[in-house]
Amino acid sequence: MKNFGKDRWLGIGTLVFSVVCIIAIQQFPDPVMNVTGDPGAKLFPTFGVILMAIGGVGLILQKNQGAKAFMERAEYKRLLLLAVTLAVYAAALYLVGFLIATVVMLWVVMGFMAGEEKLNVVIRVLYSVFVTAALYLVFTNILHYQLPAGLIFSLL
Amino acid sequence: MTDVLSALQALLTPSCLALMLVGLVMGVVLGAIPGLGGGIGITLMLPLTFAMDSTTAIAFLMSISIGGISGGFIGSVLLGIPGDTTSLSTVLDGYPMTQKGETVRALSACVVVNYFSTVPSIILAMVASPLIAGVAVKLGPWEFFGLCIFALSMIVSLSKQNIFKGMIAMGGGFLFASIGSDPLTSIRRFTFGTYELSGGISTVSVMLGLFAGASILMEFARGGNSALTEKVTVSGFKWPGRDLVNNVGNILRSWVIGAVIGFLPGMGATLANVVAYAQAQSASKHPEEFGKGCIDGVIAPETANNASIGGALIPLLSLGIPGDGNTALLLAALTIQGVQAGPLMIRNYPVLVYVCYIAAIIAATGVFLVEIVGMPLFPSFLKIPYHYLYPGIIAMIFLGAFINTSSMFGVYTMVALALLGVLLNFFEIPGTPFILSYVLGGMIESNLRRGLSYSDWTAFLTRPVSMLFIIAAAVSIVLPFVKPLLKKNSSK
Repeated sequence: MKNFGKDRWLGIGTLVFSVVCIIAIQQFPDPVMNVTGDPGAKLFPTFGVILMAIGGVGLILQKNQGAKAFMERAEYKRLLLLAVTLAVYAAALYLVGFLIATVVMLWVVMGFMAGEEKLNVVIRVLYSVFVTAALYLVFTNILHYQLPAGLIFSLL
Repeated sequence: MTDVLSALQALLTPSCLALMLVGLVMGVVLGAIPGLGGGIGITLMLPLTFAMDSTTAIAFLMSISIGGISGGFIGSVLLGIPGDTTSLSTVLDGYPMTQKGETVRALSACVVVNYFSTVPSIILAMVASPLIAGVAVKLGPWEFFGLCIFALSMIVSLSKQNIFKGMIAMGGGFLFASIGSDPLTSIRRFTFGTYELSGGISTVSVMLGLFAGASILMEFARGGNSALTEKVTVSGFKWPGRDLVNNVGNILRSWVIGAVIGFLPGMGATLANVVAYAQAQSASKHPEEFGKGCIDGVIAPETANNASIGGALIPLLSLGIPGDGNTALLLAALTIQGVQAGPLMIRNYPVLVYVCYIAAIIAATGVFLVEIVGMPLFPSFLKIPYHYLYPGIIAMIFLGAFINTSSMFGVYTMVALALLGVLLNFFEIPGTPFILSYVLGGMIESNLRRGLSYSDWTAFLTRPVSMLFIIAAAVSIVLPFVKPLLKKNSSK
């Protein structure tokens, strides 16, 4: 199974995905008014699915080309760590708003990125607060955008 | 002439010039840092342009784009890692020159040829775009469908290592473009009953997630604290007069290669850089010196990648088809400003078209001056610790995604797309066919369906221009399969 090849797994995954998409496309409703000659809303996504399916079949049938490892184990761990942090930051933006979520995110991500290098705590705090404040001022005062205020604060 | 003067008047305001300076410096710095590049700069700044007028927005983004393509050589020469893929081949001789102690010679040559290839290519675009647009207004949906398919087939055929992965990327781009209400009958597709998806997934979210978010995740995972760890010092700029005189033929050839490749939809600066290097080596009287620190091998790719800037503007402004990733982002910026790029743009928005050209020339001049003055600072661009750089970029990506949709939905979409970007990297699925087929998807679908509404499907094959494009598309897809077989037979 190990020699089956990453590309073949991708081919199988793509084929399964194509079947799911075709089923979903069949569920699209019919238009209320027909435009003469128009093939309808199903044609274009079907075209995309066919392309994907051809690609998938091609990958399954082609010779296993072997592949070098995408990342080392430690690199996967770092990837997962940052991916989870980004997901938590997205949730925090919704819950506690831009200011608190961003200060904390900057502090945490700075620590991750520095790795074994010890960062000065004062600089870390100043950086987190300064960047957050600068972004907030630019986006709200100069560009007049509304930033996430936070669900918790809107309920209070 | 009035349009040119109006464009100049709009651009030569203190605020616009100041923003352009910020943009081009940002482009050069981001372009220099491996893993980032000017494309990320445009992606990050795209949401900021919502609040700007169209002139300022285009001038700002154009400055980042030109700075990014130009700055790519800094990483290539100093570090041996291209700052941007557009300077991929510059590494081959640029870094050996640094190892030989000829850093300033290589950097100075890059700065000069970058400028003197960008400006003529933009002048070429100024001349060629109206001519092509004049022809394009006479084309119908059949021809535009054929043209888009041809553009995409060229991108897929570039996925030489695996054309099947190119097809998966292209199909995936089409599916993404299908999300939301369909353009003719407003039937909702793949919206899963949610209101947020009925308008489709915004280009900004796709770019922020797939381009910027995925790059940050990958760069962090692969470690490193800053690009440059060794001590490298660079003295001031030195005019590379003798190198330029010795390379007149090389520069002219590379410029033509860059302009032509830039013009071909989907090709762009990266391919121009690679092809020009290969051609310079094969035409050289001393090919054995290439790869060992030969200045010809630095001048050729750096001339070509900048010559492609003007080349890529031609299909963007005359046909509404982006030449590469950066012009796809500029197309998105135009759309955000309510401007429909295409054959009618020159007629409907003549001032804005000249703003594009003149902003590009001003930006190129600004990049030239900034790089001359700032050359001793180049190593410090690469010493910026990632723990200061990346957290700020992450905050910007999230802000951009939020502002774009004015809701958290944009943020969630962006995070999901960043993970999808990592998945594409894991399976080595090329990103360019995905992005360009996503961007062109709407145009392809509406032209296909309009064409079928006006006549039956045979019109796509009987109208000469449409047929020509479709045949060319088929050939470019089939050729990579047939070519090895033909070679095999001829060797027997």
